[in-house]
Amino acid sequence: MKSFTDFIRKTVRRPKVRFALTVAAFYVLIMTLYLYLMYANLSTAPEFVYSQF
Amino acid sequence: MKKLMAFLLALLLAAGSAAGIHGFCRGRVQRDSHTFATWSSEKKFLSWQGLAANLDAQVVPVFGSSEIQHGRNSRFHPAQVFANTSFQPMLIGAGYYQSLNHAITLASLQDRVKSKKAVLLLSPQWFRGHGVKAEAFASRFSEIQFLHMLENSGISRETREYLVERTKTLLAKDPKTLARVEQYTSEASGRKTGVWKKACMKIYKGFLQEKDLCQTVMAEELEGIPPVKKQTSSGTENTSRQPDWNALWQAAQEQGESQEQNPYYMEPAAWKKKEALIQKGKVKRDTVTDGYKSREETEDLKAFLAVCREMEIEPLVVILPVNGYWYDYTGYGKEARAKYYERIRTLLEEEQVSYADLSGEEYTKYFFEDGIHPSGKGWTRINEILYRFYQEDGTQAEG
Repeated sequence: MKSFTDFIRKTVRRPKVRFALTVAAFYVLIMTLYLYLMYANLSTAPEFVYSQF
Repeated sequence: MKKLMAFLLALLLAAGSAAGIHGFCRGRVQRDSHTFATWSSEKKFLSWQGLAANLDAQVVPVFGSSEIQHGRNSRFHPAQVFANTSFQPMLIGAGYYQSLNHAITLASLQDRVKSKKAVLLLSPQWFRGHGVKAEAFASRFSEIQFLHMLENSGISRETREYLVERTKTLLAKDPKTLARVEQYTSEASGRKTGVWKKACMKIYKGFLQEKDLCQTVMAEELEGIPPVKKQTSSGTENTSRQPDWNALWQAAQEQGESQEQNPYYMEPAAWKKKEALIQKGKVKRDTVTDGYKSREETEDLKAFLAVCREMEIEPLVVILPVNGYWYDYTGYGKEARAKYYERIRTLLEEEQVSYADLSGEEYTKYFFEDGIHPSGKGWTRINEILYRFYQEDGTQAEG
């Protein structure tokens, strides 16, 4: 277990890996925003309760 | 600096992903036209991309309201009746979709209605009070369809201005959307707009187009609407079977007779609800001598017909009846109703528009599911009218 956590710590400290993780984090944020804008109901219309005639 | 580089790279990757999603959606928006046409979904009704991509020569737009949602699982609904025919009724509408919504939708489709025909299922309830309620209209308003309507050079300035002014009036309850509509119409009318404002509008319109595409495809995928069917080696599928209207009518009669009976010849489930309301004293019983004559809805209907005329689309208006037994009970008597039907017939004759008058079916047993929506017999009658209109070359369908 210790060797595994040491491995993770060493890997994350490497500059290229940190850069890739930063890119991934930004990518997830941007795509989350994109998918929200594409699929969320952004209507500002007042709620209308349909009732049978 | 490194964080900025990381952000820019992430932005580039996200742009690539968005382009991939766009390409995927573009390739999947067109679906099996039979299934799509009779699919009932708000996403479809408010979409522009979905409707525009799925209109071929066998598709006739059928505009209506809440009746389209009723009987969907029954064998009498258009989705079932026309499943194996060449005719594909593009059902558009749900509760509180009325003439104005439909006029905007039709105008937005421009020259994509290849069949050059359209049907309007006209409900008497549309003509209550002042026509469509502002809250209902706002919740059923499609900005993307409105934008495409503005771009339709085939409709007259007069008709466009009418649609715009009515839209603005009814969007009073949604000031944010109203503000955008005013900007769209200002730009469309040629008024000078600042460069920055113009750029923002262009970006926003692009966003609306993309959102419409993505939402439509996602809704299609979730609903399981199959993709476009491939042509068989012998050509098109065998879709030439004509429904047997007499057999359907008889089946509806037998179904009605086999159910638990009630004084208003409604379906049992609907009757139970009405009965409960009656017992609680919640059913209004007024004596009405005239009604269903909204001036606003009448003008909206004329606008719909004007859109048809200017786009050279042949309309057929189906004058839907109400359950005579039930309406007599509630006090909206036969004579009052007759005034409405006569008013509509006169208007349509003045406009020289074909219509199918179903007012004579008010007392047909098992025609209605409840007080207003069609049941087995009702749908059979409507379907036959739709089918004959699709087949005919423009002669009036008889009610």
